[in-house]
Formats: sequence, C-alpha cells, structure tokens
Amino acid sequence: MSSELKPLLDAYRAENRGEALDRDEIERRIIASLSKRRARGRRSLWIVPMGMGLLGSVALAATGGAELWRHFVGEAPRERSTATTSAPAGARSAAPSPHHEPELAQAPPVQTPPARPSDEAPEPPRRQSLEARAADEAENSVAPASARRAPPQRRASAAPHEQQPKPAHKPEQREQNPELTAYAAARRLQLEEHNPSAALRAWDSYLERFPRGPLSAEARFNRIRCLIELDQRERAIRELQPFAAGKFGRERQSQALTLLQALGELDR
Amino acid sequence: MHSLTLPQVYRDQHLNLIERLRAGELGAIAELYEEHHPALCSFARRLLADAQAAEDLVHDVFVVLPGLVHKFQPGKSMRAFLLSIAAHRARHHLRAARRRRQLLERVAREPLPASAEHPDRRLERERLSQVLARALDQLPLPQRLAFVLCEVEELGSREAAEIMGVPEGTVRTRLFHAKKRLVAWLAAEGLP
Repeated sequence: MSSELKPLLDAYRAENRGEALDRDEIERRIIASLSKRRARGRRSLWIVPMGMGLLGSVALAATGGAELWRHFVGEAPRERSTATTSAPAGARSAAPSPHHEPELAQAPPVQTPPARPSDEAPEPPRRQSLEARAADEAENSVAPASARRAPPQRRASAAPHEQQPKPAHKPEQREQNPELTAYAAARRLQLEEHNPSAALRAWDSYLERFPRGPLSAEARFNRIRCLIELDQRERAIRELQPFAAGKFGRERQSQALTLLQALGELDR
Repeated sequence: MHSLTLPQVYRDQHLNLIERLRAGELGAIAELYEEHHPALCSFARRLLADAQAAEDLVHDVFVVLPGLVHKFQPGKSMRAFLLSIAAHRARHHLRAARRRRQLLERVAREPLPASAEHPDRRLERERLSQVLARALDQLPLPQRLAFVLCEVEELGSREAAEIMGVPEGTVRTRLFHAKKRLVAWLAAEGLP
C-alpha cells in the first residue's frame, strides 16, 4: 500500500517544505497581533468599569435613585419647594429616614398649584431621554470600538488567504511597522548572526527611536545581554539595576537578579 | 562555592520561559518562535498543503499560546505541545486551504516559482504533490492529521498520539483507514 503512495509522498514532501514560508513575516504578524491584544486589554481595564459605572448611574436615576440621592445629600428641600411632582412623593414617604418625615408632612400645602405637575410632567421624560442618550452613547462608544477592532484582526488572519499578490502587501506592512522592523533586525543580529556589537548598536538606535514602545523593556534587556557578551560587565550590572528593582515586572526582576548573581560570581 | 556560568544562566532563563509565556511576554514568545518555527512551519505546510494558510496557522498558534500555556506539562516536549495546538486549530485553516485549492483548479494555476531544476521533472513533482493534496482533502481531519504526522512528517505513533491527544492505538487505526481511503480515491480517479 505504501509503495503506491511513495512517489506521491516524496513529491508532496518536497513541494511542501516549511522553509518556503516567510518566517520573518509570520513573526512580525505575531508580534503585531500580541501587541494589539495587550493594548486592547489595557484599554478595557478602564473602559469596562467606566461604562458599567455610567450604566449603573443611569439605572439608579431611572429608578428614582437620583431623588433618594438628593435626600441624602440634602438637596431635597430645595427640590420640593420649587418643583415637586406628586409621583415620587409615595416613594419618598416610604423612605426610612425619620428626619424627613416632618418636611414631607409640610410638603402637601406647597403642592397647591395644580398646573405644576402637568407643566413639569415632560421634565422627567426629558431627563430620561438625555440619560438614555447618554447610555446609548456609552454603549456606542464601546460597541463600534470593538466592532472597529475586530476587522483588523480578521483581516490579519483571513485576508491574506483571499487576496493574491502576497509580496505586494509586505513592503506596506514593513513601512507601517518601523518599530517591529527595527526590533526584528536587532534581534536577528543578536540571536541569529551572533554579532553582539552590531546588535548593541541596533538596540541603541531602536531605543533612541522608540524609547516607550511596547517592546522597549525587551529591547533594554536584550541590550544588556549584548553588553555581557561584549564583556562590559560594569555597564551591564549598572543597567540591570532597574530590572532588579522590579521596575519591569517580576519575571524580569528574577532574571536580572540571576544575571547579577552570575556576574558577581564570575568577577570573583 | 558553586559558581554560575553564563550558559547556565541562559538555561535558567529558559526554565523561566513558561512563566514569561504565561505573562504574555513578547520576548518569550519570540524566543520560542525562534526555536520551534521550523518544525511548526513544516507541519503546518504539510498538513494544509497551502503556504498562506500555513502561515496563518503558525501565526495563530503563537498568538493563542499565552492563553494555553497553562496546559503545558513540565517535562513534556514543547514542540509536541505547539504541534498539538496547531492540530487543534487546523480545521478552519484547512477549509480556507481547500477553498483556495478548488478555486485555483477552477480558475487558473498558480505560477510556478523559477527553478534551476529541469522543467519536466519540476512539473511532474508538482503534479504528484497536487494529486496527494487533493486526495488528502477527501479525508476527515483526524485521519488527515494521523497521515501527515506519521507518513509525511515521519513521526512515531507515540509522538503523534501525544500531539493528537489520543491513544496510540487510535492513531494507528486512523492511519490505516487514511491510507485505505487514499488508495481507494486514487484508484477511482485513475491517478496518479
């Protein structure tokens, strides 16, 4: 059975080799996707609670919570004396605060003008509609953003299948990501070409151009590795200090401490 | 006193790789990519028989890796772990690759890359490869995976079982049925 498949298998293996794939392009895409994901995560850290807070306040206001709040804050007498509607009065009378009871008892005489409730009847709906609009805006500000975010991710994974002239996309992508290109170039010099002095220069120029890029901590650490390889231990030790102090996260801290320990041992 | 050397330090850092991966550290992913991309690219390319779909699959594996690395068991092979992620995520990419193949068959042929090889030999090899790619499209994904891992990538049934997450016996059964189906399809089509 295998003999029938053997020539096919040989041809298939030869035609479908992994080396034929553009490894640099894949790497660039991976880093870009992960950086984008990180940025999205960071954004959602404050967008989600903010949106929830806004929705919560809208819900509170819609259920008469605003009136309750005014009671507690102490705005209630002012509100009632100027424009008290009859509807929330029941709710107010149900409020457990004994201090407000006398005020409530005095309130009915103020309600004498019968035109007021009808005059002010449109007000709550207006308020509601404003709040509803605010809620809508809050929702819209989240929804389209996620909708906007989704397509690029899909584009990144799906579009290359469909659209043909693949090499045409690459220069554009490279131009769009000068940071990633610079990072990849420096990394290649260090890890593939094992040229620490050239890599050090590349990391320096990367950090000069993108001192606060998403990969700057990585770049700094890799730069220190270059220094170690170039036997510039004192500089390496000095530059490891912020990492050892935990300025760049716990993992980097422990690595920096290990490196520092090793450098100390080597010096002896 | 025990003294550390730089290679030892790097080894320690490698052990720390999993933790860094968990934290989604880009440098850790880049290191892992550096080490395992040849195996992964080869597997993806041979499983899907399509360069673009294979690139997308490899990209996906590394993008989802930080979220899945907690499933990695220390002491096991990282290569097998990455291949198993690829195997589990291959379905969608396989569909895309199949669609593309069918489209190319219907509309036009892909331009052949320039090669110093004799054109007749080159064409014949490409034809045979495409025959097997089409034959593989007839198999269900589990059988296709078993065939690609055991026959194309020439892995042992034990490693293939680890990658597919099934017992070795299941791999052998799937391989047997895959071969049977391939031979039957080729005979029915009068190929190669």
